[in-house]
Amino acid sequence: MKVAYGAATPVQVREGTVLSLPGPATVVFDIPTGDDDGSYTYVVAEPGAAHRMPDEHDGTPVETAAQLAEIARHNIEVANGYDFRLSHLPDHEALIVAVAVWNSGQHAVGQPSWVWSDNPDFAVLLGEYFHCPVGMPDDVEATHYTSHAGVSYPPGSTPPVEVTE
Amino acid sequence: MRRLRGLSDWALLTFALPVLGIGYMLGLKTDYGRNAQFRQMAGSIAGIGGTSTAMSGNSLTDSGATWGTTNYVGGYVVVGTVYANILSHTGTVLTLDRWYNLATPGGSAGSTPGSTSVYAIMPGGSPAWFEGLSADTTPPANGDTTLPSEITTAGGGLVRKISVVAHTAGASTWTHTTVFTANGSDSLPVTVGKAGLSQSILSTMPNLFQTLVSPTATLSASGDQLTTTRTITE
Repeated sequence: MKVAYGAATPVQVREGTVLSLPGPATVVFDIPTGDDDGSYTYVVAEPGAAHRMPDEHDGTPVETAAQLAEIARHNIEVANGYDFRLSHLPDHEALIVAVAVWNSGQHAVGQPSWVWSDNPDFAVLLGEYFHCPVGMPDDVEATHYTSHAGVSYPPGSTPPVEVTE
Repeated sequence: MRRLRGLSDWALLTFALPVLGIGYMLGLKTDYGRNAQFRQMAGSIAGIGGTSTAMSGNSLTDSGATWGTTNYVGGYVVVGTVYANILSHTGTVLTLDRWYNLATPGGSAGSTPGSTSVYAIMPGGSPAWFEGLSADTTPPANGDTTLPSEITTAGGGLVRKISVVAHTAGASTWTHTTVFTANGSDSLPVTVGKAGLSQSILSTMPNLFQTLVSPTATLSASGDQLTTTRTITE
């Protein structure tokens, strides 16, 4: 499952030193899902199931992406003494890893300017989590530093496409 | 322990909590990791292809081959839509870790190819995207190969697992992020003290990188999760 973030203020971190990068830029990754039996890969769960809102949110069952994002935010960011490494949302590894990529601070500072995924429902969930627009801008290649197959391109430049007739 | 710089740096960020004062932990590229990096970037030796005469879940035989006994150790072989890492070999038999599906390398093992299959031993090596955990807290050393006391509980959720690799356009660094979820098969509680990255999902192949998990993280119940993030600096 492919995911991308829009980073208005991209960075890279070398030995703990945060270095600014030209931006805006995309942050891209591929979450390994889709294996037949799901073993040792990342689970994408639908809102609902056994999850309930935290007590301070009246304990009602989770039914929407917004509610799931809220319970995840509480679980990841508040529980366990703000140790972001620890969580307890066993059906939502994909959400946890996607959030961790951004929250690590290794790719950008601030909040994502937008989120995108080839799984539309997952993109909505991330959008709810980060309170940001869902979907990649139509002019992303013209306005962002982008990455294709690990190769970076400045705004206005895209991978060469060979046309055969 | 030698802490390396430049091409050899590997920083484990114990979850980017500057407001809490939790910083990063510089990790270690093992001797095996340096060799693997050389092989990845320089190829080391040209690849070779042929047609196998026998095949199993962890071996490939070409009775007509003359591979020697060291040329391809640490490399990988591709057959159709599966690949495998080469643990060792004789002149005619490759001993492999297992078959991986190219599209889902972190999932179930790939199907064993047919006995007479066209194969290619590739130059370079396969990606180091599998992470393992250990309760060991001894600082890693250059000569480390396997991860000491690695958690290998069958059916457990803390065994080696594929990580998520993320890259920012224009950056010379990238991250590996892994979520481990403890389950009923794991022996809990467990306090995780060290982690490593490897090309293999099995603990039989050496780690390229190892680092302490600092501060240590304790998982107490089924469903508890640990997320690790590593930054690889070219």
